[in-house]
Order: sequence, then C-alpha cells, then structure tokens
Amino acid sequence: MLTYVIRRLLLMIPTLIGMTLVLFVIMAASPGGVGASLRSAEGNMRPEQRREIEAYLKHRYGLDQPLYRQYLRWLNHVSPIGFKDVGPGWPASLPFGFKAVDLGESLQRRTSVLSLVEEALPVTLLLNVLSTPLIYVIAVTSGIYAARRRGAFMDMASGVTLIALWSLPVMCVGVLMLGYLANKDYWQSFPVGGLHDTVSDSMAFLPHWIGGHFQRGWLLDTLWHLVLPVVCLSYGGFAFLSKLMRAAMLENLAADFARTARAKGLKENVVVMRHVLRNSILPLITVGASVLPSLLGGALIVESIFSINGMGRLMIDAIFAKDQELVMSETYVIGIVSLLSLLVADLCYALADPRVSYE
Amino acid sequence: MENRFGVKDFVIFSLLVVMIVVGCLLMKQIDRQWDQLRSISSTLEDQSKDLRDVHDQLSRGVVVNENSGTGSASQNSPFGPNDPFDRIEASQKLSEYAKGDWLVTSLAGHVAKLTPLLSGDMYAQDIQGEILESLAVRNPDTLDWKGLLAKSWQISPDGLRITFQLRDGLHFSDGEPLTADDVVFSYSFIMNDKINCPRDRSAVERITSVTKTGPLEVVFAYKEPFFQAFDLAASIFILPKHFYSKFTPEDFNQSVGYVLGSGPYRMEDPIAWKPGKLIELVRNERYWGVRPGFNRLVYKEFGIDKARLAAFRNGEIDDFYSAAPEQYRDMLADPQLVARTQHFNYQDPLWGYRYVAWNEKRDDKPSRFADKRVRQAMTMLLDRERMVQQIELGYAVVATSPFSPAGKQCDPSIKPWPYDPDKAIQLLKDAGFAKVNDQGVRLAPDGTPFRFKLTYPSGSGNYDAMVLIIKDALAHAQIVVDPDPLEWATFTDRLENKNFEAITLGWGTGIEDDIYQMFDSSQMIAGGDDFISYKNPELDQTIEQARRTVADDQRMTLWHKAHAIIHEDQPYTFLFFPKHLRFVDARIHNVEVIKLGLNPLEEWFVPRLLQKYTQ
Repeated sequence: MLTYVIRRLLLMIPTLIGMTLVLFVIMAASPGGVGASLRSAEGNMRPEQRREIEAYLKHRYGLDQPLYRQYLRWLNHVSPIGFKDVGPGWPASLPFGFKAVDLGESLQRRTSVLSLVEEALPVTLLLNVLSTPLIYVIAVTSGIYAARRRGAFMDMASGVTLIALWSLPVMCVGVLMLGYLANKDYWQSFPVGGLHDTVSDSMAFLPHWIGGHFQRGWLLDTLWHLVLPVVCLSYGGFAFLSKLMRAAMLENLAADFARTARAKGLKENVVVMRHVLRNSILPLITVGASVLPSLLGGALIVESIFSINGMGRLMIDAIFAKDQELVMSETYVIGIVSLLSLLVADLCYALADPRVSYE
Repeated sequence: MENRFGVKDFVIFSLLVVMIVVGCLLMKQIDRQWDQLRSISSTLEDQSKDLRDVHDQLSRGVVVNENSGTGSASQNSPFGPNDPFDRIEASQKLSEYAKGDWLVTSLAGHVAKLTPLLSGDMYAQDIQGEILESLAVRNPDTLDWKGLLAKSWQISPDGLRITFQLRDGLHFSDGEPLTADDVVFSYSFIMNDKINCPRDRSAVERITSVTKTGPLEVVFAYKEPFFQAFDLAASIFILPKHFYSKFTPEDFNQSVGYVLGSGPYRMEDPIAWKPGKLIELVRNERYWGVRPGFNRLVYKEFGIDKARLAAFRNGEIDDFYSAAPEQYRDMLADPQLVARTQHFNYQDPLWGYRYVAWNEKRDDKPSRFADKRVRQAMTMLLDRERMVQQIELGYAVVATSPFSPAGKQCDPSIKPWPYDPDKAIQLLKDAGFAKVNDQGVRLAPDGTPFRFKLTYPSGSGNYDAMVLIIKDALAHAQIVVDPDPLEWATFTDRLENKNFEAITLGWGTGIEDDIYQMFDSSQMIAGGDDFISYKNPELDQTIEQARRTVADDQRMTLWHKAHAIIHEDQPYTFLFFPKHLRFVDARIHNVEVIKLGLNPLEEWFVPRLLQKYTQ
C-alpha cells in the first residue's frame, strides 16, 4: 500500500509539469502574448509613457526573458526543491535544495498569488463542504428508494425530474433563481448575492428575539445567503449521481449474493443496507474523485452569478485579464487537489471493496 | 465482516462531525467578538487622544475655533472666500437636512486593491477619493480650480514654478497634522523607483522637484511650461508621511488595503481590508472641513449586472449607475420602481465618445481614405442621429470632435456634418470613385472594388449593432463593408501594428483633454496612438502651441482652432458622446446634475424620517 502511494505521489510530478507546460505554451502563443494583460491595463496614455510602463512591468515580472526561462523560473518558484533567491536575471550558480514554495505575483492585481488564494479558497471550500454531502445524501437515498420501487410511479417521477435537473444549465437556473427568488416583484425569499448582509457585522452570532422581533443573527444570515448558491452547485451533481446509484443498486439487487442473502432469511432491509448498498457505492466513489476538483474550479459560474469571491471568480478574472502567473499558479493548486483526490478515490476503493488491493 | 460500519460507528462519526463544526463556529464567534473589541478599543484610544489634545489646548489658553468642522451657520466661512465646502454648507442649511443613515453603492466589478498608487481600477480610485485629498479640486459649477488642502497658490510668470500655501489646522483621520512634509513625501514616494506605481510616476514626470519652503508652503518646479502643470500638482493625493513611511517598499507593494488620508471618510481600520471583504467607510469625525451627512459608505461588489439590478430593485443598494440604454428604458417603464427612485441622464465630461477611424496608410502607401473628400463622404453617409436613436435609444449627443460638448475646449458654433448621401456620392465621384461594376460595387480610381474591413472589438452587442448600421448605410453608396470582430488582445495588437483598414472604438475624455496623443503626427511612431497615420502640419502646430500656453483664454482659442481643423479633415468620423444613465433611491435627497455629472455625495443626505440604517 505504502509503495503504491509513494509511486503515485512521485508520478504526480511529471503530470503537473506536463499540465502547466501545456498551459504556459497556450498562453504564450495566444494573440498579444503574455504582455497583453499589462498593455490593456494601462489604457488611455501617451505611447512613450505606455512603453516605459510596459518595460518596467515586464522587467519586474521577468517577461522580458526568453519563454523557456520564464517557464523554468516559474517552475523553480512553485517547486519545494530548487534554487533559492532567483530574481529576474537568475544565475544558475545559486544554492540548490529545499525552499519555500512561492506561487508568484499576479500581474494584474499586483499582489502575491498566495494571498489571493488564501482569500478565495476558504469561500470555495465552504460552498463545497455544504454541497458535497448534500449531493451524496440526496443521491444515495433517492437512488436506493428508486431502485427498491423500480417501475412504480415514484421511480418514474423521480427519474424524469432528475433527468430534467441534469439537463438544466447552471447559468440559466442561477439567473432564473435570482430573477424570481431574490426579486422583490416576485418571491423575494433570498438575498441577491454575497455571503453576508450589509449590516451583518453588527448582528449577534446566533438567532434571537429582541423586543418581540426576530433577529437572524450572523450564522443564520450566512446560511441564508448560501442557500441559492449551494442549490445551484449541487442539483446537477445529485441528479447525475442518483441515476448512477439507482443503476448500480438494480444490478446488485438482482445479483446472486443478494438472492443468497434473502434465501438465508435476512430481512430485505438488511439485504439492501448491508450487502447491496456497499457493493453499489463503488461507482459513486469513482465519480466522486472527479466531482471534487470540478467543484473547486467549477464554482466559476455560480460564484459570478451570486457575487461570491471564490476560486472560480479569481480564475475567470485571471483568464480574461491574461494574468499568466495567477492562471498558472491557480491551475497548479487545482491540479494538485485533483490528483490528490484521484489518489484518495483509489484508496477508498480498497476500503470499500476488500477484493481491491494495491500490494 | 468484522470491520463492518455499523449504527454505532455512524453515531460516533456523526458526533465527531458535529463537534468539529461546533468548534469551528465557536472559533468564528470568538473571532467576531475580538474584531468588535478591537474596534471599540481603537475608538476609545482615539477619543482619549482627542480629549488629551483638547485638554492641552485649553490649559494653554487656546480658543478652539467654534466654526471649524461643525458646518454650523456662519456668514463668514472659516475656509476663506474660495470655500471648497460652500455647496455642502448650503445643503446642510436645507430644512429637511439630517445627519445619519448609510449610502450603499454597487460596484460592477471586483476591487483587488485599495492601497493608493498601486490600484489601477476606477472603482478603487473612486473609493480612495473619499479617503484621500489633494491640494485643489474642480469647482463643480465653473470647472475652475478651487483650493482644498491648499488655501492659495501662485504661478510664476514663466509657468515653471507653482507655490502652494496649505491651510492651517489640517490633519489626517488619525489626528496627526498634515504639513508641507507630507506633500513633499507624497511626491518623493511616487518617484521612488522601488514602489510599483509606474503609471503615477510617469504621470508626474514633468514635475522636476517638490520642495518645502515653510511649514505650510511647498513649491512645485517643472521642466517646461505645460498647460496641465497645475492639474498635475493639484491632483496628487497627499499621503500621511508618518503612516506610509513605516512600510518598506516591498511591504507596501504587496499590501492590498493600506489607506489612510485626510478626507471626509476613513476606513475603520486603515490596514485591515482584504479583497472580497465588504468595503465600508465610516465618517471621519475628526475631519478638518465640513463633515458630510452619511454615517457610512458601503460598497457592494456584484459579479453580474442582473444581480446588481435585482439588488437595486429590492432596495438593497441606493445607486444604480452606468445603466445600459435598454435597462434604463425598461426601468423607466416600471411605475413602482420610478415611484421610489429618481433617475438622471446627463453628459459626463469623462465618459468619452465613439468614432470610426479611417486608416490613411496601408503598406506604406496612401490608402483610399487618405483623400479628405472620401472621409467627408463617409461621415455624410452615416446617419449619426439615427445611430443615437437606435443604439443609445436617444441617450447620446452627436459628436463633432474629440472635445466633450460639456467642456470649454469644444467650439459650440461647429455643427455636425449633415447626413447627406447625395452630396457624399458627389464627393466620392469627385475623388475618382465614379464607376460601379456589374455586381453593383463602386470602383476605386485604380479599378478595384471599394470594399473594406471594419475592425471592432468582439463580445459587445452594442458594437455589433453599430457595425451593421454602418454596413447598411455604406451599401447605399455601393460600398461593401466586411465586419471584422476581434478579441481585445488581438485588436490592440492590430492597432499597434496599424494593420487594419477602418476601426470603430471609443476614447475617454477629460475635463480638458490633450489630443496630442491621437492627432499629432509625431505620434505616428510604432505603438503610437495616431494609428491612422493622419498628418496635418497646421493641426500639429496648433496642438503643440496650445499645450505650451498656460493662459486659459489664449489656449481655448487655440483648441477651438484645432476643433475646426479636425472637423474639416475628418480623420475620424465622430459618432456620438453617450450619456450617463443612472438611478438613485428616492430616500436620498439633494442629488442633482451639475457640469461634472452628479454632485458629490458629500452633498447628499437622507431626511430623518426616511433614514433606514440607524447606526
């Protein structure tokens, strides 16, 4: 097991290098090149001035170096092993060894990428911590329910609903929710965006009554703001996983071991919960590995619609501004998380199914 | 079988999760309490410092000026004859005036940095404008300069030296006095090569030095006479030396929210703001001038415009600016919304204009557009009034030049070229474009069909519609236009390399605009903004002369001359100046349109009975 994990971890290195290299080449080859973001940020200025500024920034961020050097410099920065103290014109005779990981500096925001990620990651994680369990709880229960009542009205109805949910684009649902559920002219039950109310700083922490008036409190206010984004983030996931769960359950319900279990006199509940469920959970684990990274980077649309400053919005802004360091380093972070979650999924396999072994 | 996950495991597992969640919430709660405690203790500290100062002054027998800062009625303003606060004082004398309430504004984007000099975006600059102050401001009625931190100034006859005298009793929001040292520091801070502010640095490069000649007197010296010399000095934000000199250049460059100044509002904590947090400014109770009405200014960020609009409809934000014409029309059609809001459409001198630029040189040879008659014909073929109606729904003014009709540079006697296709075709015939081939396409003098690509930035419905109208209009004169939408980076690349036939785009303007950048032939150089290779020696001379002229009247005459030349030459077809469309909550009183757009929010207020936020 340990050898397997180490091997997988070591394999991550070339994968990450390949991934970022492809990204770097694409960005460098795009029209205007990397410097385009610097240029468009400066706008209405005298040309000599603009050139001076561009030259200053290019030098500051090492964009005046040949492309391969730019990439190697970035790679050296983000790697935990490498040359220390490498400035824009790095000589190769510097001490080599373990060093701090430096995610670089955003060209457009002129701040370290690390601080940007530090701000954005907790927000995105909060969204995921709420939506991932929701996805799985709904998917597993509705999958079991539908499979046990195969062909009944409820099965058909849930099947149609889930397919419908699965086909609805998030962009569309988000805007519709905003237009109906957060609009005073219709049913204004939810806030328009953000994570907190304007006056949330002066709220008490927990809900309570003051002079007969109910006050939401900071905690409830935050949860209330999270309802629409979390619904948007999760409906597609549980629609898909429910169908997957139902299919797996049906297959296993008809399997020999289920019949044997029934034949030896076990109650139907025990058969389903102990034998069938455990065997049917495997596909969910496989898919789960791909759900987590896509939730991390993929809250992109939802975050934009509901004005939440998470990783998705950071990424989309960076891409539009061609902010090379930010795009690269964010991809690097998301890449590491994706690869790790794939590894965790593979390990969960072994946990859920004793037949799987990595020895 | 022995390691089966049973009910007992489930209960333990759930308990564990609940405990972790409760622990996290507890930490969050303590964090919030800590923040509150810190803000209370810093307020207390401020107050005791003020009390100490007052006590010291009293014990020294100083009479504290009764008028300063209160804005209470006094015929003799404490701020001298050129009082920068006269309009605010007038608003505070209105019978319904009351202090209090918040102004909640929206930001149609994301603010990444609030630290002055480092942030380039418009929103951050707006917010900084409430916290930081400069030596002088524009008088909203006359657009002339009025002293803010400076009470007076003298310009030397050669225009190379400007001496400013600061007001007495200025101080920053932390109570420290503002002196000539801070002005000198602000300049030298910008000029420090280690500070990552190339933009501001190159803007003030014409200033050679700023020297202190007295505790409240500074002298700005310049390389050469320049018409915007005063603007440069007057618009530098004065930064507190005692605060910003604490940080190393590296720390400062990495900072996101280090902002402290002398303005009417301040951040509750001058270093704590981080991107993604709500931006809240509180009234600077120590303000040296007239304290404004709102207790708090709140800026909310929105990811998409639909959300911003929904928030305004719900009354969550008070100010919906930059509405698109269709949005504005739809909002006006909603009687409920109109009843509880006020709406404005006005000419904003900073909003700029739209144009079509005709490239006069291709592959080092004069193009079809090199002939003035062809450019004039193009302008007369385009019905600009119709464009204003169809694209901007009437909320725009047809342009005659790059000068805003709201400013003094524009010669109001010059009228736009008429929409006259017949005359245009006659001009084209005179220029040699007389024949039309079998396919019905007009032929150039060299026998090739008159067909060209009109390049424009993609992704905006507005541009698409405009290009279609242009295509349609020119088809009547048997000219074929091929729309050529390009992604922004590619677009700017083409501009840099002058690789296009005609483009349509917009330029921003200023209160007094420098057109040297676009129309002086010296700017034909690679990467220059005269990307159409337009050259008129007479215009070059006029522009250069105007830029050297410091006296306003003489300069305006020269700008009027430049206006006439540009109008005759039509290097661009000037389309229109769009208007700013804006809704403001009816709760806010004393909002009005002035020459600069809407009056500053320091003049706005909410009558007592309408106040919504009580803190």
